[in-house]
Parts: sequence; structure tokens; C-alpha cells
Amino acid sequence: MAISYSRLTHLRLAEKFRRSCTSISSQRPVPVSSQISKIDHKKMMKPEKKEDRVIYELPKVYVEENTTGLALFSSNTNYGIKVIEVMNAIKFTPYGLRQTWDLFQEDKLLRSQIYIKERAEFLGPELATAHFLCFRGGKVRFHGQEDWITQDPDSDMLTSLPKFYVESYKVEAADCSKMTLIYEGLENMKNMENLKWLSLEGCPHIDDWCLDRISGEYGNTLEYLDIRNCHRVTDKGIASLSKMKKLKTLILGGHPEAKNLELVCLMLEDILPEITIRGIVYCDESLLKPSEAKE
Amino acid sequence: MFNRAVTAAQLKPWLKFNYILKNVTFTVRSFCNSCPRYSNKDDEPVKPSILVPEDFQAELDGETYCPPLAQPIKPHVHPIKKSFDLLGITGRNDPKTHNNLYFPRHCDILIIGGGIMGCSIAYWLKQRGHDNGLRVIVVEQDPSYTRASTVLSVGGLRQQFSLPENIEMSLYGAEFLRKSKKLLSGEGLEGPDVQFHPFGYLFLATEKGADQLIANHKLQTSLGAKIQLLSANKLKQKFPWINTDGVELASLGLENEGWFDPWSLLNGFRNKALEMGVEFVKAETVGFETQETIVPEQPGIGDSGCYHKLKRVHVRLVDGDIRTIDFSKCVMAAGAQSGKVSKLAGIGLGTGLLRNALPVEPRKRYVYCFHAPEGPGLDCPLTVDTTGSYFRREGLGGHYVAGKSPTANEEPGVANLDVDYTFFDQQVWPDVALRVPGFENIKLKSAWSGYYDYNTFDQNGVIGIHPYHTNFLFATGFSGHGLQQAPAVGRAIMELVLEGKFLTIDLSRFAFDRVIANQPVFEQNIV
Repeated sequence: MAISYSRLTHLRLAEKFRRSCTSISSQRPVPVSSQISKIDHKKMMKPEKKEDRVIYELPKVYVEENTTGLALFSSNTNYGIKVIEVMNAIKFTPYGLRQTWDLFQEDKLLRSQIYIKERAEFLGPELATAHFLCFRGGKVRFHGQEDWITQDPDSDMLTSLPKFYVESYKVEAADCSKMTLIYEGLENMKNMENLKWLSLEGCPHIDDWCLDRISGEYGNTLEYLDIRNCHRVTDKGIASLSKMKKLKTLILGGHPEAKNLELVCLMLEDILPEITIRGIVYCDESLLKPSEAKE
Repeated sequence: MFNRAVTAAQLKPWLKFNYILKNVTFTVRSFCNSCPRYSNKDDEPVKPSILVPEDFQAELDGETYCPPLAQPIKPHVHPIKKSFDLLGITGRNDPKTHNNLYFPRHCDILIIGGGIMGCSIAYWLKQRGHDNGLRVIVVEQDPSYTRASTVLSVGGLRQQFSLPENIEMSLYGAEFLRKSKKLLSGEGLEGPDVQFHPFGYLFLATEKGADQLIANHKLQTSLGAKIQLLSANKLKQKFPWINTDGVELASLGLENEGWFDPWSLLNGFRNKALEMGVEFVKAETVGFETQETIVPEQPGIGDSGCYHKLKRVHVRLVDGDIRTIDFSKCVMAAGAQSGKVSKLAGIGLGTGLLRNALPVEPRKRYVYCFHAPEGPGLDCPLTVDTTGSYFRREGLGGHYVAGKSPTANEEPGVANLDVDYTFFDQQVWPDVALRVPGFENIKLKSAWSGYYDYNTFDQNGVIGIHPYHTNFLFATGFSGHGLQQAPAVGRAIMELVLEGKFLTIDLSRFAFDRVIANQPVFEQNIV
């Protein structure tokens, strides 16, 4: 029975194989004859030139490779610090166990969202983003089309997205609400020149640094941004949205750590020409009603 | 009763050599810096090409002389009381020492200076030091940090440098700041909120400096920084409050650039280090002690010699008491005072490899805070003008912070931290008001000054091991951009101590060797 892998799994397997090949070849043993030879003084006193960098080497008298025969068994990679890390015992306190578990979960999340260069090179940035988002529960809409593309719940394969580079597919809108997107995951969404609509509603890991990345990436094109219920966002992150000159709609709400939110939004309305900010109440309407004066 | 010298010679047989051959003079080949000599003249290699000036090369070939280091006079303590002190009984709950039960008598790694560099190095070392594996002590003169450069700094973070090492260090600094809340938190300890303002840096260049800016930009983008070049027209479109007279090109940082709160980061490092077991000692370094070690003869490499190894530091406590701490390695992270303290270790007072002193001295810089109702508003990056003046927004109430590095002949005195307001009126305000017309109507609110740990040699950090004192490391001399590089430098020093070489970022070009070889590594973008 023929097993059909998706293109992405092909790429992953190819990369794994390539990596395993290079690691074997780098561990070549050092020949014995080179150790007994005399110290090369010319090499020691001359500065090594790496590209344009000159490294000043004052002559080293005691050089390990020339004096120990055990260098034959050493590998190029150094394990000194790794040995110390492994020796760090797992703390069997409730805090220690929880910390180990949290680190494990974070590492898992990071590895699931790390930027894969081959995917972007093969599919082009727009389709790579679409594949990345749809596979993790997001929705994407292309320029010129009206339907949102999501993962088909019945099958693992995304039948509606092309698996090769097609130039006419430009991502215009991305709906990432309630996805577990992290800062490193946003790197998969770079080089998109046509993104106009972005929703990050309810994403728990979005904070000021992610907003900095978003305003740096889509500063010229984004027109609609929704960051409701992103609990880690503060007013500094929202102030950094002043870099997006074409922003027309900004939807806020549910930011417990944003202290001067109303002031920042007023200042944003001064700077950005076409902005409308929804979800912000500038003053309490009930205070404007005339109070019943009792004399 | 007994002759002290004879007793010492009997107890330490390797030092007997000294006493016997005291009157005989012979040339001693110093360890670490000699060209090996062969018994057979034909085997001698060709003279290598000269890195250093000829007269200095002769000095390097000869012996490195380590002068006897000035020992402060230890106060007389009654011998019975002294024996109780040695037993550790009277050291308990000593209020003179800061945060310690017993005064530490020895440690593995001693860090001189408890600013951002010292605390970062302590954190990185202890994090890898496996619970109680490494004993790390930080000697800090003033735990309230009244004159420390760290807390008085403007707190900028930028990747717009011209050296690849600086760019890589700042990129890692940004990554560390992003993760600092998690990394610097512990059981019962909440991580710091560094309050990063992601507004970027804007460097303006005239026609003369445009080529340098373009070259820098190419290098920065190749290493992963997100910088955008803007022409004068685009600059005016993006920032309508700017006056683009004389500006040919500008470079704006799009990501990972801005400013943050240095106090939070310092406290974060310090509290995490304390939680992991680093000991902070409130004392001032007043002297070092060396121990003569005989280096045995190695056939094919060199004759036997005498090497003065740094063994012990003398510190003075608040009440004048002088105590000693034995160490295995010492890290110099004292900031602006590093040059002065290094001299106590003989660096700069000897010959050969000890001839060059650490070229770090304090330089005073002023920072002024003013209110400008017609200023740029929210979208104001930290703008560095063509004249060298810089300004940035502070808070949301229309306040701005500005400053300028003075020219060489205008350097203010460093005796105290008093502010010179005429410098603002004559130098800073005209430049800033010319660049931003909205700054013509301002009101100066306050000002402060701080020291740069200025490297007079080439204004870049000195990071590495001293060639003679191989257990003495430097992490100082950053001349104003040390705060953003502190996490990367801490990690680099940790790699040097635990591994012997750099693993992540190669900072060999910043070693102290460049001072001896007289080959500076200049940074073009100094603010």
C-alpha cells in the first residue's frame, strides 16, 4: 500500500535526513601524527583573518591539542555546559515540578510554531502563511475571493489550498482568534504585502512585543485590527500601533493591564488620520445627566 | 622564637627555591608570553611578523614584571579574638556585612561591581552553576545605586551599530528582555516588568554620513535586525513634525528597538541572583594579593619561571574594617571605576603584558527633561540628530528627554554629579529646536547626570581574559551602550568561565589584547 505523505512532511523528512548527514561528517577523528609535530609558530603569531575580522592572538604556549593523546577521542562539539545542565537535578517540590512541566509545554509550543524556511521558499510567503494558520485552527481569506478558508474538519489534508506556488493567491485577511500564537510563530506571517484585515481576538500569548512585531511587519498595509481580550497587552503596545498609518478600525476591550488606555486612544486619534477606535468608553455617560439638586 | 622565613620555607617547599637563589640573577622566562627556545639552534623558527611596535615587542619578549601590590595595613586584632573569628563564632549576624551571616572568606568567582553587568554575570554563572556548585560573590560599594551608571541611564535598546558583535549582542538583549519575566521569576519571586516602549530609533545623516549609514544598514539587515532606510521626503511623510533641512538619509528601527526601564532589569537580575544563592557584599575594593607560583620547565616549550597569580582581594567595609576574600577567578564589572580598580591588581603598573592599563575612565553626561506642548506626540522614536543630540518622548503628558555627548575639549569634570544647565541652553536646545520646530516653545523641568564607563581607546566594551592574569576577566568599558548588551555579556563571561571560550557570540575582537597590540576596533554609531 502506497503511503502518501503531504508535501510538508516530505520537507520535514528531507531536512531531518540532511541534518543527520552533516552531524556524522563533522565528527571526524583527529589523526595521531599531527599531535606529535612541533608547534607552528608562524600560525601562532599571525593574526587569523575571518572574512574582515582580525583576531589578535598573542602566542599561546600551552595548547591542549598538541599535548594530549586523548584528543583523538574528543568531538568538535563541547559538552561542558550541557553536562552541567543535565546534572541539574529536577526539583521534586510542587513549584519545581510545575516549573518543569511549564517549560516542557512551552518548548512543545515553540517547536510546533517555529519558522520553517523551506516552507516559505517552496510555497511563497502568502501560501506558507495560509498553510501555517489553517493547520492550527485559523482562517484565511484571499484577495478576490469571498470565502474564508479553514481546515476541513473531516480530513487532515487541506484540499482547498494549493500545494504549490500560485502567484494569484494573496492573503488579504487573517482570522487568528483564539489561536495559541506566540512571538516566534508570528515570524511565519512575514513578507505579506497585502494583508488588510487581522484579528487576534482572545489570543492569550499576544503581548507588547507581538504588537511591536505586527506594527513593524504590516505597518504600511493593515486597515483593520482586532485585539480584544489579549490580556498581556498594555498601553505601550497600543501606543506602538501609531506606526501603522493606514489603520482605519481598531477594536479593543479586555485589557486589565493597560493603565492609561483612554489617553493613549485619544492621542492615537490625533495622529492616525482615518482611525475609528471601537470598544473604548471615554467618559461615563451617566455623569453627564443633570443631577437632581436638593436644596 | 623561630625565624619566620625558615618556618615558611619548611612549610612550603616549592618556595624554598626563592630563598636559596635570591642573590643569583638570571633571566627568567615569564609564562604565557615567551617564544619557545630550542636547544638545537637549527630548529628555531623564522621570526614572525610584528603585530606591535618594535620597542614594545622587545619588552614583550622579555619578562613581564608584576610589581608588588600595595597592601593596605590590616588593623591589629588581639590573637585570641582572631582565633574566635577564624572559627566563625563572632561572624554570626554581623550587621556590618550586607545580606550575609558570616563574612565570606573564599569564593569561586568574585565579581567586582554590582551594576547591571555584575548582576547579569552573577545570574548567568549561578544559573549554570548547579545549585551550590559555584560560589559567587558580588562586591558592590553602594547597594542603593546613587551614582551607578545603570540607573541613571536613558535606557535605550537599538540594533543600529556598525560592528557585527554589537548588533548580535543587542539582538540577544532584545530577546532576553522579551523573556525576562519568565526567566527572572522564581518561587515566590515575580519577574520584572521592564516596560519596553517599542518606538524605535531614528538616526539622521547628512550627505557625508549617508554612505556609512547605507553600509551599516546592509550589515544590520544581514544579521536579522529590521531597519528601514528613509529618504528626506519619506521621512517628512512619516513624521510630519520633523524638519528635514540638511538630512540626506535616515534609518528607522522597525522592531526590537525602543527604550525600557533599567531599574526593573537591574532589580530583576539582582533578586533572581539572590534567590539562587549569590552573595552580595557591601564593601569597597582596596587591594589585591598575589602568590608567586613556580611554573615548571616544559621541554620544547620553555624554561621554568615565576608567575604572580592573583589570589585574594582586600575589601573595606563601611566602618573601615578590612577583610579578605580568596577567589579563583575575578570579574571586573565596576563600570566607570574599572580603570582605577584594575590598577590595584597591577594592570598598568608593570612591564610587558602589564604595561597597558585598562583604558576605562568615567565621563559625565547630562540628561534634560522638558515639557513641550507642541511636540511630536505619540509617534516619536528616539531620534539622534546629525549633530549628535538625541531626544525621546517620556510618558504621555508631553514630556521629552534630551541630551548630547560633548566634544573632547568640552568634557565636564567628574568629581560630582552636578548638572550644568548652560550646556542645555547653548548646545542641546538649539540642535533639537532646529530639528523639531515644535521644540521652540518648551519649559525645562529637570535634569540629571550620570557617568559613562568611557573606553578612551575605542569606545567599545572590553570583554575577555587578561593575557597575564589569566584568572582576571573584564566586562566593562561600554561607553554608553552597555545596558542593552548586559544579558549577552553576562552569557559570554559565563561561557568563558565555564568553558574557556565563546560559544554563542564570538567576542574575541573585544579582548584586552587589542589594547596591547594597539589596534582599536571603532564603532561608528556612538550616541
